[in-house]
Amino acid sequence: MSLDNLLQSCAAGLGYVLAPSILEFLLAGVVVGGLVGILPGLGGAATIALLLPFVFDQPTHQAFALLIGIVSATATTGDLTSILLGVPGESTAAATVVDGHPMARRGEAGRAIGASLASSLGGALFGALTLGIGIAAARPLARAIASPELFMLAVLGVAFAVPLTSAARLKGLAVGGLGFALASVGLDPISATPRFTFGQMTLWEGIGLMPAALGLLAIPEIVSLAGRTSIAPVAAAPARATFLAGVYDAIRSWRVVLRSSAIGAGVGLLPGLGGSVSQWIAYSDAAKRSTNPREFGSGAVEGVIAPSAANNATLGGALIPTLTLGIPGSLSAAMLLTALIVKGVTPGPQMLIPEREGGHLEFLFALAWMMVFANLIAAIASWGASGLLIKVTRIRSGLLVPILLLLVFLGSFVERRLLADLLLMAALAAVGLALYYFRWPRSPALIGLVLGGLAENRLFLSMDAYGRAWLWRPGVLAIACVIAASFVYPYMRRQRRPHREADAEKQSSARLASGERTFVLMLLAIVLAAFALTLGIPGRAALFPGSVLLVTAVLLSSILIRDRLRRETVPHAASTVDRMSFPAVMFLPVFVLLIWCLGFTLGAPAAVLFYLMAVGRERFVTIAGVTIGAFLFIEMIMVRLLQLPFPAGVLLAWAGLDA
Amino acid sequence: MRQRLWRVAQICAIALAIEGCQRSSVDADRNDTAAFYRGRTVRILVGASPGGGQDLYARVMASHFARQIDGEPNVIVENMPGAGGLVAATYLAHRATPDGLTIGLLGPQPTFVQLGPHASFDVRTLPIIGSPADDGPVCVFGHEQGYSLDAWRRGRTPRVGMTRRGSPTAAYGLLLTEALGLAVKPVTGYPGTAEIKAAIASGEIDAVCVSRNSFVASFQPLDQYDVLLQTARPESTMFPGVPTADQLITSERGRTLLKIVEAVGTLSRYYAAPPGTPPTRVEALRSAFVRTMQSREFLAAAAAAQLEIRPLTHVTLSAHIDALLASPPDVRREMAALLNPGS
Repeated sequence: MSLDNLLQSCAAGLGYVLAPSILEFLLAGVVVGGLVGILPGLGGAATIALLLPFVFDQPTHQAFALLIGIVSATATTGDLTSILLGVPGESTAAATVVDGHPMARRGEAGRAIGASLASSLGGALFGALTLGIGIAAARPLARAIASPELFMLAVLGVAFAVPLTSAARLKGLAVGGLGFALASVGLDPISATPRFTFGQMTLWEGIGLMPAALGLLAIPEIVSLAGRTSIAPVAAAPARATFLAGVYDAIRSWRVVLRSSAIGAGVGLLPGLGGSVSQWIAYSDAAKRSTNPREFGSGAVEGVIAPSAANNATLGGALIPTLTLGIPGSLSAAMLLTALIVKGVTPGPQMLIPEREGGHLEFLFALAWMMVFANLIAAIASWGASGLLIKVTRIRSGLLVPILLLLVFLGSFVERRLLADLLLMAALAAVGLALYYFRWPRSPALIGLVLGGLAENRLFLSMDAYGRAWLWRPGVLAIACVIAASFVYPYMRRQRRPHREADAEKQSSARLASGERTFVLMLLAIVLAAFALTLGIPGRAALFPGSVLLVTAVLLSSILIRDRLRRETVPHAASTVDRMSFPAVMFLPVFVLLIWCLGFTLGAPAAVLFYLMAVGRERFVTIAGVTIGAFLFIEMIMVRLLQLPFPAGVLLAWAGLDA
Repeated sequence: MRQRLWRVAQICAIALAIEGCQRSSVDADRNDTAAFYRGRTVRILVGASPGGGQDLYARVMASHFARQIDGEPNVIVENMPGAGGLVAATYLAHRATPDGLTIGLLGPQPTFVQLGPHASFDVRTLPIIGSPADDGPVCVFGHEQGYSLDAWRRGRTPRVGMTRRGSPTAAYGLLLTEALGLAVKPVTGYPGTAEIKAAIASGEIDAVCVSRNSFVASFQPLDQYDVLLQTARPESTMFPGVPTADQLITSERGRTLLKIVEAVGTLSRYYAAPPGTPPTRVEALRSAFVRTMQSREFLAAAAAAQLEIRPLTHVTLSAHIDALLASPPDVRREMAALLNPGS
């Protein structure tokens, strides 16, 4: 492929995209994707699936303008919900909650949004550039990356996460171990042996990412909000000024943007990973390299920049194997591949040949330009709406909390359309609340959940396909060196700043509070019980969960032993979450019960109504308005427009009123 | 003569009267059906993730099916992946309202589960609508791996990728090669066909045995692969010159296993309604399905998406399910051990 051909095709691709009819479809896609990104659980891939029949009837370029617009905008606006509400709009925006929402709570929502949008745009541009330039390298890359390298990448992701918890390393590792253990729930990927499914077929595919993210991350934030007047203090800085400050933060942190984008595009290249993995690896990498790693988790702007950039770069990387080898690099890419095949565009070497010679090179560049323009439009539109969106952070909590709980319950259901996911989310919310209350890190649990299944699956595939030879593959050795460096680098940094690290170590080593000790004991009991269950699992299916649970039990025991042995009576640090609203906690099972009994359409608004009356103590007009609004939102948008199959509540079914 | 003519006239009158009653009854039924479906939405539950072969079949059919149902309702496709289609099948059997507004696109999994002790429903209680195409396996090798059928038969052992035990790739990969006495090294546990493709591209594995239509839909570009083996049934002209399993069978046990492989293919994708769906609506859906399969627009759309269309009726499919479930106990045990997830 000559440079001339490349440049000409690039220009021709731009020419396609600038046609008014293409821009119209792109804009429509951005609008749809933007709205989808804000609603938790719906997902860009599911939206594409809904629109595929419409796409079949459209000309190819217009169809893909719509689809690329949806996927690009979803990746951008999902971060907004994470920042403003502490509820991830997409499973690929969960990492943004960790630092984005604390920034919003500090009154810096505008700054977080500015940083997120700027870095999202940077990531998207990087992804588009990767698609345009990296396409020729697809085949050699496909040969080089196999199960051993994917296993090592999972280990790398975990290794990066460890220093996240430098202030409480044992606790973070124990929580990560729990995440790994949760990843083994379901049918063993090789022998299909059920593990921790308790006879429930709905658990055969494991624990969904959305219910886990919502339970562990969002619910504690919402319960904490219920104990305050609003998300942000009333006297927060003007939105526009802080927005520009955030953009400046992203520009100043251009190295973070670049590295995170490279991580996103790189992970996107690998099948089966996608944004769920890239966001956490980028986040962990940014935390590791930051000069203030301890700020991560409590509102570091780099903690917003990294996952936002990675997320938006993933699509560009994922399209490379999709277009050249027909191997989708992510779920969204899989949907785009379906659309490609239906439109008669066959992935393969023809993607690298100009159209005048019978190929589709101009189409490939058109896709890259569509990504650029879609992200630009999404960023500008989000910037325009940011002033309005930020006002959400000043809505009084009594009004906002039931709406957020409604979104969380909807988001938990929508991903897999299983009512059982509500119970899963509620169970994980209980764990998340306890972790939040005792100030244990929660993100390692999600990292473990995302990477644990990948690690186990790829380890056994490597052993089956290569025997022991997989250990000596060049890619494996290269990643092993990076992992080793990731442990050495923080150690060297600790040696350079011994005093600061000693202070931090001392503070993090405060004795456990009595309630915290009970919590650790309960966790240990659950882990040991689960370990006992693994003894009844036959064959290789027991190895991974057994090992993980054993290690986690050792870590939890170490925490208890270490606490017992400490002679200093350093008082337990005052919790910033001691204003958690326990009435809000009590309302969680009420929500579950009402939805279970009356279904979503009636049960969810009923739960909102009860909350507003009993806890929110709002005026009647407000209560009526919000309740009716909740009902209309579910009925008109979720049921009629999106055709979501909400099951009827058990009471209605029993009374025969479920038709 | 006059009497004979009178008798003929009587018989004709009776026949016309019966025909008229039936037609008015059918017309009345069709009017009722049209009235029921007008303005409503029919859901097709697909027990697989978006983007795969099963999903594609449902999505290409949906709008054309809508036009053929009396009343022209809206038809949407919903994905309910999980456990190889069992989650969707179980939902259809136990939870879906049997009103003719929900149908499922099922695979062979529910029938296989019924071979073992863990079935939660009888697959025969689901009224079958029809199948757009039966299918048969092909064993596909990466072109760069340089395999030939002769080398395979002489003892060269390929690494064959499979998804989870009980999946079609595992069923085809284990049963078909066992039937022919061909050695394989199974590498089980790939999350899906996309990952298997990637593994072939990286040289991690050499081959996969997958259904013909899934191969054509999901393994583009096809020239990167060599098809070394296929089954004779169902008949297909997709891969002329590729040897069929029938030509290579040498034992009675092999023939038994091959029949099971063919049954897997026959049941690879078929539409069914929840138990208790009113017979008139089942018939309406069946008729609409047949008309869809004959529709020129649908056939053109399917051809554009490279989907084979070779419809099977509910009678044929029911016969296959009955035959499979009536297998001798030792065959049932062997199939259950090989094909059941969760056992």
